[in-house]
Order: sequence, then structure tokens, then C-alpha cells
Amino acid sequence: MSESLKQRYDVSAHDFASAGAASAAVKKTLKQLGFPPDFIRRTSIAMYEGEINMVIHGEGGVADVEVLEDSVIITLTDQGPGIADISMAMKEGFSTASDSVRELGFGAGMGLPNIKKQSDDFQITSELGVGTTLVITIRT
Amino acid sequence: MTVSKLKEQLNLETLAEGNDEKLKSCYISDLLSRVLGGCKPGDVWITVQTSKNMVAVAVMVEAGCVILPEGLTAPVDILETAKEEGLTIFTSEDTAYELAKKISALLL
Repeated sequence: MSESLKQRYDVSAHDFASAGAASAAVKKTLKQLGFPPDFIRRTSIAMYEGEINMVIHGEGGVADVEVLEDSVIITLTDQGPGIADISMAMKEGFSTASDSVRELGFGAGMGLPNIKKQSDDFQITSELGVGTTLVITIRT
Repeated sequence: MTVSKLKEQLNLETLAEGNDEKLKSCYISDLLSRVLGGCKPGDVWITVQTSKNMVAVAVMVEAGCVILPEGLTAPVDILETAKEEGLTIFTSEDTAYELAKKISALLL
């Protein structure tokens, strides 16, 4: 692949029924392009976790996916409210999710640490009242 | 061990028929956030979660199949989604513990 493939997905806020649609679409694309199974799995899990975070906390947002020859770069930009303390948010078990979210099986404070675990490079920036951006790079 | 052989051995009832995946181990949790980090490809995932997110998570982690214990069933639209994704969902009258014991004996 000489040029990168760029895709953009809208992620709706609080829409748990369709959460994961963007990650599923990316997974299918990577399979069609013939990437290795472990790479596809890590990419799908990291992106799904990020997408769920946007649905739960981020008031929705946009997922930009760039597929390169030997890596994928996922940029998730949500619409707020932003994270007050990123170092706390990165700790396993720390979560600000509501009880209703927890009843669905999410909000265990595992999302961000798991994204980091699946990725080769992980950048998080956040501004209160503005939003959070994750840049996730996964290499083959 | 494959999905179809597991069905035979454990007398499972099929709710959604998917691919006949090769099974490697077993994972039990109802917390999807945990499953995303802990369930491995080819695991039999035992859970009482029956939402659409359960199917999405099973597909993302590439679980071999899902078993709903204690006779649980899932809504029809969720089973349809599972079929489309090639994910097999079974139900069993056994508890998660009883299922895990039997699966352990079969897989080890």
C-alpha cells in the first residue's frame, strides 16, 4: 500500500446499542487488507474501548483512522467534558461512570489502561470543558 | 475441541449458530470491561450479559463461543446480530461453575 487509507466515523453519545460500529468497520477493513490476526485484534479492542469511552463519558465525537503499510493510527476526539486528572484516569479500577453504565457491564475503570496495553504508542490530552483526544498507534 | 463438539459433549442448546471455531480455554466474567482485557481468542466465554454489547465484545476479543448459564436466553435481535457476526451463543441449565468444571475436563 503506497498511500495511507483514511476513514472517519461519527460516534454518538449515550448510544450503547450501536457502540462498536466504528471498531467493527475498521476490523473488517483490516481483515480485507490482509493484516495479521493479532494486529487486527489489538486494533479492534483498543478502538472499541475508546469508542465506548466516547459513548459513556465523551458526549460522542469523531474517530479518525489512518491505515498505513505496517501500522494504524486511531485518533479519537470527543466533545467533552474532559478529564480532570489524567493520571487517575489511567489507573486500573478508577472510574467516574454512573450506576446505569455499570449495570451494562462497563465503567470498571479498565478502558484507558487496556487501550495502552494493546497499543504501541498512546497519547492522551484533555481539557476540562472542551474534550479529550486519544492518539493510538498500533504496529504490526 | 471445536464449538460443535463442545455442544455435543455438554448437551448445550444453540441460541445462535456461528462459526465452528477451535476452542482453547475458558473465561468467566460479566464485566465487559474485564472481558475486553482478559478473554483470549478461542476462549469459551461464560456470561450472564445478554446485551448487544456482549456480542460486540465477544467479536472484538474473538471468543470461540458464548455460553449463557442457568437456562438464560437472549433477545432475538441480539441473537440475530450474533449470527451475522458468526458468533455461536449457547444456553445451558448448568451454573457457570458446573460448566467450567466440565469444560476444564474436556480441554485439558
